[in-house]
Amino acid sequence: MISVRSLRKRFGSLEVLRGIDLEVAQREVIVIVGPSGSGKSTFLRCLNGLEKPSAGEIRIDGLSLTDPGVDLDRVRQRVGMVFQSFNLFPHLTALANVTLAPIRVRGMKPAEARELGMAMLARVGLAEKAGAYPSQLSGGQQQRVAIARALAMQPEVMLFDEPTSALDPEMIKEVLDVMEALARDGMTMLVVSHEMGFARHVGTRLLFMDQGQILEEAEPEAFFEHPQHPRAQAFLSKILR
Amino acid sequence: MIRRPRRLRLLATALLASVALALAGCGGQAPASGNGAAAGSGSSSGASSGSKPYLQVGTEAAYAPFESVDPASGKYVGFDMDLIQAVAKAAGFAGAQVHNIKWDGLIPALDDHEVDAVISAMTITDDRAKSVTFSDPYFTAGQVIGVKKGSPIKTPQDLAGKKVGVQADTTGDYAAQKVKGTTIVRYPQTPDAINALLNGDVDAVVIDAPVLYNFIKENPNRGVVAAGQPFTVEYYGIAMRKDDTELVRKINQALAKLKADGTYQKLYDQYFSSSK
Amino acid sequence: MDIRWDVVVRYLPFLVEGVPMTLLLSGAGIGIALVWGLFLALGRLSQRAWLNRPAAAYITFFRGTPLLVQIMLIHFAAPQLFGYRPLPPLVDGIVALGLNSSAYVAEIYRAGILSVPHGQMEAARSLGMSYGLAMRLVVLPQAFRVAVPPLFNEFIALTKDSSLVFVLGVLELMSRGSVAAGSVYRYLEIWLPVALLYLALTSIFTLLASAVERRLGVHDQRPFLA
Repeated sequence: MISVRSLRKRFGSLEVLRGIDLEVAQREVIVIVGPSGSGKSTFLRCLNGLEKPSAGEIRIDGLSLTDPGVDLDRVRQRVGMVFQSFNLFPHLTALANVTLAPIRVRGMKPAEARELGMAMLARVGLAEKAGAYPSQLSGGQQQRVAIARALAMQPEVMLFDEPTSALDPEMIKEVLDVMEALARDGMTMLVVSHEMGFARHVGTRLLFMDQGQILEEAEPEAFFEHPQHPRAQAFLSKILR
Repeated sequence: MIRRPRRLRLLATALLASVALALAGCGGQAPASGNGAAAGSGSSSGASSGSKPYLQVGTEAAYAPFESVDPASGKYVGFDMDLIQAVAKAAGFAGAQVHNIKWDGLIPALDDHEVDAVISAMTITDDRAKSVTFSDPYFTAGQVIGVKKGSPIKTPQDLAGKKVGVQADTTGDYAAQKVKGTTIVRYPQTPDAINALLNGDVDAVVIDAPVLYNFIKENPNRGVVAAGQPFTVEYYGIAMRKDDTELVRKINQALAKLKADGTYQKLYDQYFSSSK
Repeated sequence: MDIRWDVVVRYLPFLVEGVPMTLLLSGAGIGIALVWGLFLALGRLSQRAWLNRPAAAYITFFRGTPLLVQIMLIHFAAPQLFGYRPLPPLVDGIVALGLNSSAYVAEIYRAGILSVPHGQMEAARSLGMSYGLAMRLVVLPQAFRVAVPPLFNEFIALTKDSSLVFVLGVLELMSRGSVAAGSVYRYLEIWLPVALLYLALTSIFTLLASAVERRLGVHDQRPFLA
């Protein structure tokens, strides 16, 4: 499904990704953890072309993102992304946020898109908020709309970049529940998150990244019980207290 | 020209600024004007004229080509300046001693006996004639139509149905308004109107004749010509005190003499010949 | 109070006749600036030097030279330089106002676009939108909202600057005031009505501005300090 080979990313003299290799199969839920600045977010952003890799290769469903002639807009239609800061479009209602891309990118008829949009909002439990503007929604609700918005493009892979770290604690669960349901439905997901509960119960594989490399790859349960790499141990001891 | 709009004089000066140098150069060549350019205050006193007095003359030297200050020598130059030298001599003076006085102060300077005559492209008007006596007219000015070469416009009547450029709120503006059926296009300054004519924005301009003549003289290749003679008439006169009848008589005699002997015509041609 | 009402009455119609011309000049100038300014802003924001440099040079020139000079250059110098028949003064006047205002409007748009968080563009792109589509559907509507107050400022300024086309013989409100005041030498009776007429014109803009702001502001009902 996703195949990454010796991926490198450099910002000026700073090498943020230093050779990432990864194979992801369909229906896998990959949870990526690591200290800040370890390159997790950059890695995720490379996967839908928001960052242009400096070297290496990324293939998604056989389509190469690193091929110079690739149509990134087409790739992005298959790869949904959810951001830490939601990034809902503030000038549009929740429903319009969800239907904008299906109508304007996919060319879907408005009535059809509306139906799809309502279905997606229902899926994240916010059908009754269809007419609300982002500023009228709580953070958790906004993030769920953002997930519905990404889902409306019917992607094959969903990327979550710290989806709950900007949320108040009481709102985290509603977002994680939506993500868990998504995983149960068979969505292939890559999630940068430090939510241990989610990683243990939903994640099929866990990657520990530090200094631009994947240092450890394990079953989530095993990782949390017996981290192998010394830096993984140090990291866990900090976040678990 | 009615010298009410002050800015008109300024722009005329600006338009003709370059003329001053040229005039200074050729001033001495005009036979009748003699040392006309040497009229600066005091510079010619003590010359061969013996005990003859100088005529004290006031002018506002900011209106080329009639009177201006030559930037190189600092001397007063122009048609009026050359003329008054000739007039003064013909009237029995050693010459004219010129004093540069603000426009508003010219007539008061006469009253205060600071000067005895004023020559400053001053239009003879009834109003002014109440406080001073004017010599016989020495210059006929007025509004003239300027057109591009080859234009069918020859007379004010031909302006009907045409676009006519004028400087807003000047005698040219008023004169053009009196012609029926014209579309008057007003400009802030006379050069704007002339440029509009060159650009084809208007079919004609109605402006002060001397200004147009000088533009034509200085820019012979720009294709502008005067359509006929000025169609409004304004006369310039030399102003003197009302009680100074003796001087008025002398000056009028001198003017008549210069006109009769061709001196005046030579001077006029030197400054205003519009024919190439 | 020494006020000559007969002068006011006599010249008011003459002054009022200048209002449609002022409206035409500023309205058409604004129309040009709204469209052309957007292209300039996008060019200015482009990474490509061949778009960015000319846009920057254009803005530098039109902001850095007096409008009066630009009017002269457009109407008199350009035909001479490129050998074409001069356009009617009214057309060149409008073009000059529009081209000049475009430079200011471009900078207003640019500031508006830069005020939209980068995440908006990223979110739109992540949904498969092209740069242009994301700009049009997501960034510009938000940028425009930010730009409305300074845009209307610019339009009010343009309305007042439109008097400079007097130099091309286009007689609008301000120059009618000059002509009238010059002929009667009564400044209060002429300039006060002129001021009130301008005020009426710019008040239309102010009303329009709040209407537009109300329309665009519907999605954000948070008070300034939440």
